[in-house]
Amino acid sequence: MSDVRFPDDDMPAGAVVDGEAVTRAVDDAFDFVVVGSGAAGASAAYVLAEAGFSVGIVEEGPWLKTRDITEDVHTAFSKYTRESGMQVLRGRSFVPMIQGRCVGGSTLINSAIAWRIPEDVVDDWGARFGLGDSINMRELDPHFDALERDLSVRPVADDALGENNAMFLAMANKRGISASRMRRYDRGCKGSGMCLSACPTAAKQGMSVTYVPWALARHGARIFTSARVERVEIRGHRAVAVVAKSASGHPIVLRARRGVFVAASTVQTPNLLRRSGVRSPALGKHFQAHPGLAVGGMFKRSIEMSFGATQGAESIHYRKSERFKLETISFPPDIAAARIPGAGPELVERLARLGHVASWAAQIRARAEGTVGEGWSGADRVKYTLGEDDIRATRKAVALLARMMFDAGAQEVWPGIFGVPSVLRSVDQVKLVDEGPLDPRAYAFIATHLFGAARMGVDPRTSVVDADFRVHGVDDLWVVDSSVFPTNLGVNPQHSIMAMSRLAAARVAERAKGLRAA
Amino acid sequence: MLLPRLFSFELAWAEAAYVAIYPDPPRNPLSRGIRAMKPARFYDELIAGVPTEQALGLRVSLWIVALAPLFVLRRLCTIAALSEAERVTVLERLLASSVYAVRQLTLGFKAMGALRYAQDHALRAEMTTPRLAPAPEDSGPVLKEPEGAVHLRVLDRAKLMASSSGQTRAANEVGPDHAAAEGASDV
Repeated sequence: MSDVRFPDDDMPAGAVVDGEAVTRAVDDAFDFVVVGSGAAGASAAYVLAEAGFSVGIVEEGPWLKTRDITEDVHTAFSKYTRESGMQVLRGRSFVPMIQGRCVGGSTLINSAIAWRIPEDVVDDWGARFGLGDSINMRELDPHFDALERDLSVRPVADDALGENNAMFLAMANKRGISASRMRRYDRGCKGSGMCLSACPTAAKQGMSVTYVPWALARHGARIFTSARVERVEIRGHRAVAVVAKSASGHPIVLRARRGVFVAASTVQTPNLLRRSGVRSPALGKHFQAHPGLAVGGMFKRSIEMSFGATQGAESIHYRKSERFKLETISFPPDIAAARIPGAGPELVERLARLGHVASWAAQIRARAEGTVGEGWSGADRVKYTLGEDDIRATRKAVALLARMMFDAGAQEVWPGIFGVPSVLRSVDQVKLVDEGPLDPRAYAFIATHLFGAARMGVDPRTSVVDADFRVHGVDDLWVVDSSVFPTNLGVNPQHSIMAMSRLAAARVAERAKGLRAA
Repeated sequence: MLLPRLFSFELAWAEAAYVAIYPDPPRNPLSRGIRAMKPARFYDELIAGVPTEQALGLRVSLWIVALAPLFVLRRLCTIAALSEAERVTVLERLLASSVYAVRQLTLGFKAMGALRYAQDHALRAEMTTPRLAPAPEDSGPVLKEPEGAVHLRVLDRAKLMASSSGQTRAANEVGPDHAAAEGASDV
């Protein structure tokens, strides 16, 4: 074990400034300052640094090193997710929302799924938001290609598939539903089933083991960790600096000679822009998500979710027609225990048979829109309530998954819908799901894919950034995370977020190089 | 965090409720329940470590659980005064409550206990390891195990890292500058 070196082990001296250890005020200057080191921030930082510009990255959370990763979800969530993993969307119901708050952001705790943005979504953005000339597949494809080379995108390999995923594929196939192995960032996945509490072997290619260390080690970028950005300083309609505070309480001022990229995430970016003085009627509006709901099933035979890709199989068969995507998701015991019905002997009896449990999920391309604002304590606040048509889509998806599980021989299925028996024991009972309540409070949703709230468009009255990612009315300030997406996608967004961010950074770098040459 | 730490009576409530949710053998087929893991202390530390709003929610959920005998059983006592079987009944009723806030907060309480219960490595292994040999009549549809599949019944981190060392070294070496040729055949 001692000879194993991970990409996040060795950084050049001075490349990482740990905000926990800062003992005095910091004042530094870069060509570009990037706020956030998740999928969007890391991609932009890498492109800018590779183009020869000096880059400073500011990250609110700490750097979780691969060798410190444990299987314990509590430790991971309490240290490396926002609000200890207890953040929620508020509306008629409370929907848990997990966001990474560490170097690499949510790429540390997601399942590394790589989906190119669907063409129908891009066409819709062109038709409804006037973005066709700027955001199209011709522009995006080279960036997807580059990402797939850099991060080793490939379908789940046989030796990391596992039964939970294999059974999903077989059952979808049996019902004539098109399904496939997921394409993921994968450089040697061992199927440890630990994607949700971070990859113990760095195989997942999260940003903390790829673009961030590459930007630092190869291209001289610098990262300030555990430093919360308070505002972007805008002088005379131009972004000139980022003002942050270290976890140790000291001010960090990073001056930006050429501009600032904001990639703080859909929830944090709108509030950061507000604190920075950006006034836009569209700011904080049009928040969208992909609420997800998992269905569990108990089998007599072994499933062993603890082995195999956490998420390794999926179907977009109903993405357009019914607005849901089906996928597998293996839960570790820490999370599964909360989702398994019952308390006391009934609960622990099921927990003891977790090796026989399969878990599949539906991801809804919800039409509902919410708002992002600040709460009484200055905390980020998202208001969001799913509509009836979104619940109808959820019901259909859950019923289909339940039927697939019974097809596979499940002894019992747990639909996770209040008002429907928590344990279904035969396929005949699935009709109760078909007729389930239309109240969002009845469904055990979780939200992981977030979009909008600083959306892109040509009209400053209805959008926050223009088609080149620039905040309307402010020079040298770009937003590159999924807050600019005019709509949700219906597929997992990390890949699209990175491609969009790369596109933005490449355009800015190109222009800046031109100016430098001139 | 603005809220005070849990008082001793609150710790007793949390302990009683968690021991009912994750009981000791023989009411538990796993080798042990949550009692030995000091779940009340864990809950207290959890509350101390999260933002105020979440801490308030966790505290309220404890009080709902603690005082539930009053409105579930119409008995003038707290959860700590009930037998273990009665506690389970009360908790199940809360989890199935028609009042959204009550069932969600109780679910949150149960979930926090799960975080503690599953922290134990040996217990995780017990949970995730299949218990029964597959029965031929229940083998379900033909699902061939992928050739070469490796079953990691207990995650052995040392072995996992050792086996990945080759690839990890490669990952260190392979970056954007070198990846083009390798990636081309993968994608």
